[in-house]
Amino acid sequence: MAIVVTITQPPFGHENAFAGLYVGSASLSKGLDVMVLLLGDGVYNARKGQVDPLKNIFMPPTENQVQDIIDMGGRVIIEKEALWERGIAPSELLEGIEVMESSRMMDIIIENGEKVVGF
Amino acid sequence: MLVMKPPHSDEDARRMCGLLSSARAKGMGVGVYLLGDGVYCAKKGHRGLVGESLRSALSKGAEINASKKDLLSRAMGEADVEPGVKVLEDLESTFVEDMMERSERVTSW
Amino acid sequence: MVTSDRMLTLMLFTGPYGAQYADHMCHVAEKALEKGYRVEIFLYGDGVHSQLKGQNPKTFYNVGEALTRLAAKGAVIKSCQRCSGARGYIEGEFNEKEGRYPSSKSIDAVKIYSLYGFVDMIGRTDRLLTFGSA
Repeated sequence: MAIVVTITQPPFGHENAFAGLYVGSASLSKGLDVMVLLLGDGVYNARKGQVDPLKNIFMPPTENQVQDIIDMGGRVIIEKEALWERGIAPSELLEGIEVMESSRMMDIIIENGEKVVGF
Repeated sequence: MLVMKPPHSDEDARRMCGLLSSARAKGMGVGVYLLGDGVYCAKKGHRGLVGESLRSALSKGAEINASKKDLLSRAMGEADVEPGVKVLEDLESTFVEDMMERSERVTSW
Repeated sequence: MVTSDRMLTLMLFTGPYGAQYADHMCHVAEKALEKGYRVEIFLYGDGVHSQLKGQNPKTFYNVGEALTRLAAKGAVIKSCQRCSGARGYIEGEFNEKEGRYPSSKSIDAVKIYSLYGFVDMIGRTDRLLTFGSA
């Protein structure tokens, strides 16, 4: 049984992505299984190459948070249709990200989402 | 599913419909609870994805419930909602009971 | 009074009054407590503003008073330490004896606690709902 964290906001403009990813990594550190689903604008969090956001805009880099979740054994899954709509190429994504069709992601929520935390 | 947003507010409506569709495809029973601004989703004759999705779900046996006090506050009554939608005096109470005792999954929007 | 062994966790991510999510959360919590379920609430992000002491809405549902009533009926209510600190609520180091960060600005019903308090709730709960997060 996994905790499913859904994130629909891009990094920085709202606190949602930071807060959701934090729940993901904190849950992993306590031994829970975690799946992070990046939906809609949430897919922007999977792009690599954030340049010093802490210094530039006083925001901690969500890229590091996403990488931490992957390194800790969590799954980070992003919505294929949302990537396409936003012109994001696979080469822009962090290693270890899984790209999945929206309908399959809905299946994941149904199949695994005993506990779904939405951001 | 607890729904607290109107049908055209953002992409969540599309995801909600996707979840409805996914659950029905797996043969799962579905309950939708419309609270606050979510009651707009039940308005009769609603065009677009949410209206179609709810009507389809109703025709296939999904339970769609709307909060009476939220409908009345928003100038709607039982006659204004899609046929088949149950208007409940105490939606929160029914929702809690169904969520805790009858359901395997719950999401909120 | 808790008569069931089943637990409901509610997370609030948005502040009171700007939207109805806090109201909805409190109503759901109230019904769950009436039915004897264990209820635990975590205030996160702007949701921590619901802990502010002295709320006095002229016509809106008073969320601060609602949380106080819920706690009196047995709900466990915590708010995020990091979010509370950012928003100016925390006034000292964690108090081990009371199990909270000190804050004269927060109602007693809410304990300011680390995010791991929420993770602990998630681990134990039977059902989890989020309010105002997207």
